[in-house]
Amino acid sequence: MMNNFNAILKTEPGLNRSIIEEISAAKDEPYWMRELRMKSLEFFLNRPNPNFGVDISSLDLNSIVNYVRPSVQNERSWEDVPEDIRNNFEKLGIPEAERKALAGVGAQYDSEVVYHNMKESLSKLGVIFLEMGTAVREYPDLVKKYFMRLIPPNDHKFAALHGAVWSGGTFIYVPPNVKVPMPIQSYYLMGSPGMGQFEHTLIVVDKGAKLEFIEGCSGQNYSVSNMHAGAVEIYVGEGATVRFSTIENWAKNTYNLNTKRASVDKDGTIIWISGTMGSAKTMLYPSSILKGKGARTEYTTITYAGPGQHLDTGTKVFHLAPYTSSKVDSRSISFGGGYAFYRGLVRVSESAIHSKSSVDCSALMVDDISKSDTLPIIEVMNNESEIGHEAYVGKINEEQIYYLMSRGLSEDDARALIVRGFLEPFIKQLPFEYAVEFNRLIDMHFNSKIG
Amino acid sequence: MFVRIEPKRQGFKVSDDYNFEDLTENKELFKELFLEYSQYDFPKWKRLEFSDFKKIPVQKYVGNFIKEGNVSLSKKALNSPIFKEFLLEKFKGVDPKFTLMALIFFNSGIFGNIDENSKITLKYDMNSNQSVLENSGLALQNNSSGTLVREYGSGGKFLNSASKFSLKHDSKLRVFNVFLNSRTGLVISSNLYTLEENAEIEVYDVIFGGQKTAIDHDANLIGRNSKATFKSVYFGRGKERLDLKYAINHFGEKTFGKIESNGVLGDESYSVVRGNIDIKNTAYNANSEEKSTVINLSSRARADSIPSLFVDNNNVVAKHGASVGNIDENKLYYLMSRGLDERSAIELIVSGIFQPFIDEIPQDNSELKDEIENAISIRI
Repeated sequence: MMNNFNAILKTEPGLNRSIIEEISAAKDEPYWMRELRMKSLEFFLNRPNPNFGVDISSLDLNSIVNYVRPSVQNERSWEDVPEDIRNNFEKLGIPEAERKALAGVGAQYDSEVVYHNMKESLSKLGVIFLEMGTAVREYPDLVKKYFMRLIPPNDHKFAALHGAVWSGGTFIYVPPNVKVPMPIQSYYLMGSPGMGQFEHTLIVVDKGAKLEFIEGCSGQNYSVSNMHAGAVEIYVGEGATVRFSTIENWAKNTYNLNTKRASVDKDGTIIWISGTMGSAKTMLYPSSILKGKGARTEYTTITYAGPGQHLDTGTKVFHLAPYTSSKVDSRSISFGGGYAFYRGLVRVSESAIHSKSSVDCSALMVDDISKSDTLPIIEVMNNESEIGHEAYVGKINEEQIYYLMSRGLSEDDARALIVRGFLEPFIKQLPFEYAVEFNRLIDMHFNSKIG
Repeated sequence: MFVRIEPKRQGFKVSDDYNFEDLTENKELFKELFLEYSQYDFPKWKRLEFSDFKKIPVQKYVGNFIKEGNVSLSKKALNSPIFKEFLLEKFKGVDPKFTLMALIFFNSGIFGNIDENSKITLKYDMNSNQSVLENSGLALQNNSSGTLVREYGSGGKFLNSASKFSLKHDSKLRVFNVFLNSRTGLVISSNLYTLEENAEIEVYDVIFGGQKTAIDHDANLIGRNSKATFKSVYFGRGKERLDLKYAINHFGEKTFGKIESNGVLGDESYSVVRGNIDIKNTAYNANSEEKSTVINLSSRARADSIPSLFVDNNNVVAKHGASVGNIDENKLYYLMSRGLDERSAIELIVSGIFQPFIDEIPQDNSELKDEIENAISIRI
């Protein structure tokens, strides 16, 4: 049983200037950050809800507690983390992950990172891996240069909300030509009812450097709606490569209105591996801004919409320079009345000559009470690019099921096997423990026992 | 169960809209529709950059646009209660404002009740008519078949067409719409097709201009085994902008849909092609596909493709594909190596895109075929 009775500071529900001041003061923030929060609050109060996507009219923003700070300081060693919180993470297999020599783990319970550790060897390489709030205090100039520049607070209503109340998250800086030898991992967990989680992830990978980052998100089910409006900003330097993997498995009462964006310099590469399966409603469209010549992006994404879920996800690519390329493989599964919506954008600007883009999206519908929609937008503004798009929506092939059944599988097992096969390109990109978890999830949903 | 939030219709007001006094006859008939019309402002279209409308008086159509076929003028058909109901039935089309406008203020259009094999050719002369507002309807009875060829000629300022097609079971209709409106300021065409069991519709659009063009085709496949095919070719040049929407809504079992568009863009032209496939929960074993390709001849041209699939039933096959690219350089070099100059080579390749359409046009409309070939060569 999760509990959060030990929360020492909990802001009153709703949003106003004094709450923002309270948050900022509690975090001992520099003036510019407080101003950014205030400006964001103004944008938030003045912006309408998005005019597309999921219906959020039943989300009562005023009642969502924006900031809950657990009563612990950042701990250096796992054993120092309070037991009830540790138990929650224990269930998620985090220390285990660490034992498997992941480069570092930053785990965020509610709004503050409670546990953070990093291999000393990485510090020696000059890699900075900090809880976001700490980074603001310890590296103010570096953070200020990048913080909410890719996702300006006025971008949309929930970016503004994020700017006003953001708390916790991860900051990573990789110096030029440093290849981080192991993936760095953060885990976010929402533990209190009726709260919002607004973590900020800022990743700066300098020229020629390389990083793999894994983000996991989940939460407990409460009767009160929760909300997640995080932001991820990734700066990929010249010739650098970032691989960003994420599994969002928020509780089924969560509104997940999340923003992720990467800017890619000359010859840089961003690789997105993204799985969305939790939440009641999601709007999430990781974006790649290819601004340097030869910049690349690759996406492997899945959306997994089950009973009671409306997941509106997609990808956005902006080709702004010559010889840029993008490749999107987007898959979705809807079952048990779930609704998966793919929304994509590929924009090829006038200057992005000799660019290439290929977008593939496919949807598998498991039954006839579910729903799957695809809406890609392609905008091409020059005549020297090659842009292709293909989409397919279909059912599980009954012949395959009969075949597998004739080989001794139960119908449920056969279905689960086909679903797994459909998701294979995604699952095989995942770190081992996530892949295991994912397969277990499919078995559970399809009553299969073969996993 | 879930609500999909969509952008709201944006509108703008004009100081001088069509009003009830513009109607000269049969005023009472249009009272209700007009009331609805006057409640709408004009639609604001971002991609088409449409945010201003100047009323162009609708005058009596000069000349005869019916070239062939046993049909009556819409105005006359209003005298029959059944035909009247059909012609005044409203639908969404490109936008309710424009569709209602055509239904009420039309100065042209036909009504045809087809019970056997018929061919109809209409040619709208827009040099003699500054504005053409069309309200047309075709009802195909059981087991009948028909061909409708419509040509909208150059010149004029404003074309606004609204047409409804009802296809009873086992009927078949082919429609050819040829827009040669390079100088027309605003071209609007809204079309609604309702298909019963085993009915089949094939629509071919050939589009050269106007300056701003919005075309909408919407097919409702109600009956089992009904079938809709939409094919279009267009060639944009100058600063022309066109926004084409082809929608196929599958309600019946084993319904079949196909959307195919091929475009060529020159200069600073801009095209938007939307293909909507909507498969309802009842449409078991539906099969639908769409495909759009664009060839950009100019570095300043812009092509948007928005193919969408909305699927509510898992027992279906639905797919779409879109591509945008330059003219195939291998083909170009090959042709040039055979002695053609670049312009002729491009012309040959572009003609190749249009040729299958020209071939589909009935033999006895040979004049129209020549006009299309002419339009291609002028544009290159």
